[in-house]
Amino acid sequence: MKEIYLDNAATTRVHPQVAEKMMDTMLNNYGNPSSLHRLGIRAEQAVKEVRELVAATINCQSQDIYFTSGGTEGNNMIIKGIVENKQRSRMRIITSATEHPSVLDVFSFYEEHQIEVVVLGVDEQGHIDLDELKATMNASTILVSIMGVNNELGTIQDLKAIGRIVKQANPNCVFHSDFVQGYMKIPIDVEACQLDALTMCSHKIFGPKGVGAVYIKKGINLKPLLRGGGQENNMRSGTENVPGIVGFGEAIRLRKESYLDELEAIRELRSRLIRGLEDQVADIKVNGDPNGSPYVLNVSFNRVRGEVLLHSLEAKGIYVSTGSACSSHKKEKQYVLKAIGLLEEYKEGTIRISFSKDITKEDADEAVRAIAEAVASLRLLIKARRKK
Amino acid sequence: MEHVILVRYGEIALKGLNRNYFIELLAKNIRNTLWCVPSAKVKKIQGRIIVNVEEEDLKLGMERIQKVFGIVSVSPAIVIDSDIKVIEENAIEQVRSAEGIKTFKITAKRGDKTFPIKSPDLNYRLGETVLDAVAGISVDIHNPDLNLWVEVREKTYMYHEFLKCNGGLPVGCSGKGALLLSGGIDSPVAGYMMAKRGVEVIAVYFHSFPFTSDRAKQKVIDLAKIMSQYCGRIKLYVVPFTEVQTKIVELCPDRQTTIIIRRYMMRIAEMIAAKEGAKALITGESLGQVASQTMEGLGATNAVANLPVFRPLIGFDKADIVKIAQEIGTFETSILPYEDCCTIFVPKHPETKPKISEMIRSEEAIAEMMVDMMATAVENSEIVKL
Repeated sequence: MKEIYLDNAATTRVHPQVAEKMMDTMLNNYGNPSSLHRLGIRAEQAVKEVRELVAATINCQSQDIYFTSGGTEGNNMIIKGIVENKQRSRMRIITSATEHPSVLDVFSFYEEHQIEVVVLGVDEQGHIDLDELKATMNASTILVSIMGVNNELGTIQDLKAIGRIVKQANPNCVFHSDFVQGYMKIPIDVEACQLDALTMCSHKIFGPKGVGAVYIKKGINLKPLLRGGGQENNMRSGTENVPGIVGFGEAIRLRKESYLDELEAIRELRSRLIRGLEDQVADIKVNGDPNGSPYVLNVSFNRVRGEVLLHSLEAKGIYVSTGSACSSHKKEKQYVLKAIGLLEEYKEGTIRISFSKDITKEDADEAVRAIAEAVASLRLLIKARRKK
Repeated sequence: MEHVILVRYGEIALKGLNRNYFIELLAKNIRNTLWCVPSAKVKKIQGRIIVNVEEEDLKLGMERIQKVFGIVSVSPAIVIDSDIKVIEENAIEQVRSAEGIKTFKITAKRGDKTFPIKSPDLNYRLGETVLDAVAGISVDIHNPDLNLWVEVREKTYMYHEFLKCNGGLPVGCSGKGALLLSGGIDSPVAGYMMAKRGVEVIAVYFHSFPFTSDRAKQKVIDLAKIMSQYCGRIKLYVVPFTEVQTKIVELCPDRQTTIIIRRYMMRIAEMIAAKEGAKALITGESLGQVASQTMEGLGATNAVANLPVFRPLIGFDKADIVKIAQEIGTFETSILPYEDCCTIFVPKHPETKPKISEMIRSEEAIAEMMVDMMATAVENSEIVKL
């Protein structure tokens, strides 16, 4: 049975060239970047190259890039680092209702610590209301954290407009974006967006798990999460994950030239799948913004349970997800769908399909066929029950 | 100096002429549970089983043995030569190395009548020797901090801990039973309780993929694995149940589906029992716990079984069941949030007082096709040995 992996927003398969490069690093460039001898220098050099590469992709200085263990650490490091560095009596921090749990949970943690936490609601496509943001900004606002691309819906927030509003209202306020689902998929320019901090990660772009990076603009003071040997310019102690970082770099290199073209190809693939579903399945609803990231398709089927549909597709070798993998351990599973006000009868029947360059048109058509078949047989069962 | 675990059995010692069979079986079960302790050697001596282990395996060995049914208590002991000088030295050492004790007592028993000192004299002599040798300690024969047992046989066994075990009968002595194992809290406890009465448990799990995920199946496998520490090796049948279940949901009245599904589970379990030579079914049902476990509901599921159905939890409150589940270590796994096949397709208004005649009438629509479907389900069952 051919496998069609449509859960690329959860994670991706490592590119063989990335794996090769990592293997080579583990076996041949195994030094500790902090070691004084030449093996150390070689490892340091490898990390430095990737640092410069990451910086170039988002338009910043390479000294402003710090390597982490991934998106969750990046978001924690920035939010906690900013908040705990300030000693003011009145502080406000602002985020949105559809953020990843590694942002939302940190915010709600501070809610109990006498910090004014504002969680902006979103419209039915998942966008925040810019006027509401403007109205919410004040002199005591120290941090605004708004994700670039939503992991469940693919909705893209207008970071440029948000940056403008934030900086106009309060130039000292730090503007951060969780860009895990956007990095190397849609373009970003931290300067143009007036971003002070950005979270990126490797395993969503065919790199290894357990590595990511953050951008923190020079001059932004932040209390480190991890203390110790003083690596990463004292911002993130711990021996660098050299093979991981090199793998991350290779993954970026492999996409650097092609990702803008790929974006268009994926957009077509997504439209094709939507058309197919709309043709073959009744009573469905495509959620999010049609002009959002084409890598994510969030679709609801009335009278079907998403989880059961997922397992039915699994049996046909097609892998999708319900909501996001990151929230499947959480109690409040569907907070994103709730935030966009999705009707109850659709909410239960929602799946997320997320694409990669490896998905062909034939795969998409096959997925449509399989979904149509599974939905039909599940609905038949329900119909049989209703009739009685 | 050798280390041993002394194993005492209670109830089985009373079983008259079958006594040897019971003890053999218990020794075998102990041997089996100690597969992971290669140094262990199991021997029978008068009225006891003793297990020789290397000192570093003592803890693991104790942990495993304490879970075997048919054992009243165990004691970790040292074995020394039955020579009064050696006995005295070791008695002193045992008391001296015991931490935080102020009082002690010696309970010496002479089993080997060729040993020159009689029990009361030995008691007295050892007590005095220890009292002289260990500073800051006194004798208390009624409520001592440490009671040092000295059993003089061919060799001498010395110990001061009595660890209570679960009692019961050795697994296997009461025959084989087929347990309907879901992923919930109750059924593993039911299996545990019947194993305690000597039943060898095989388990039957109904898997309704895609309505239940492979994680739910893995959870049941994990539960069976935990149970196997008590029950011995468990053979788990994973029955592909989707076809049977969806047909029932499709063709039978909504209110009755839960009961009818359970009736078919009983039938399939009985087919597996026949195949395995099991002489009873075991369920985790508890009276009144859910809609299908009313007296009428139980009656309706019971009616399809020809084998006796053991329901050891029938009179238990949920809290009591939870307590046992926690003690035996299945609770944490049981509460993992994966769907089991009983929670999908729950009718809005389930029948709480089903009539058997109505069930039979409702099953007419599917009875014929079910013959093949059930046979296929049994045939295609995946067997996992734990």
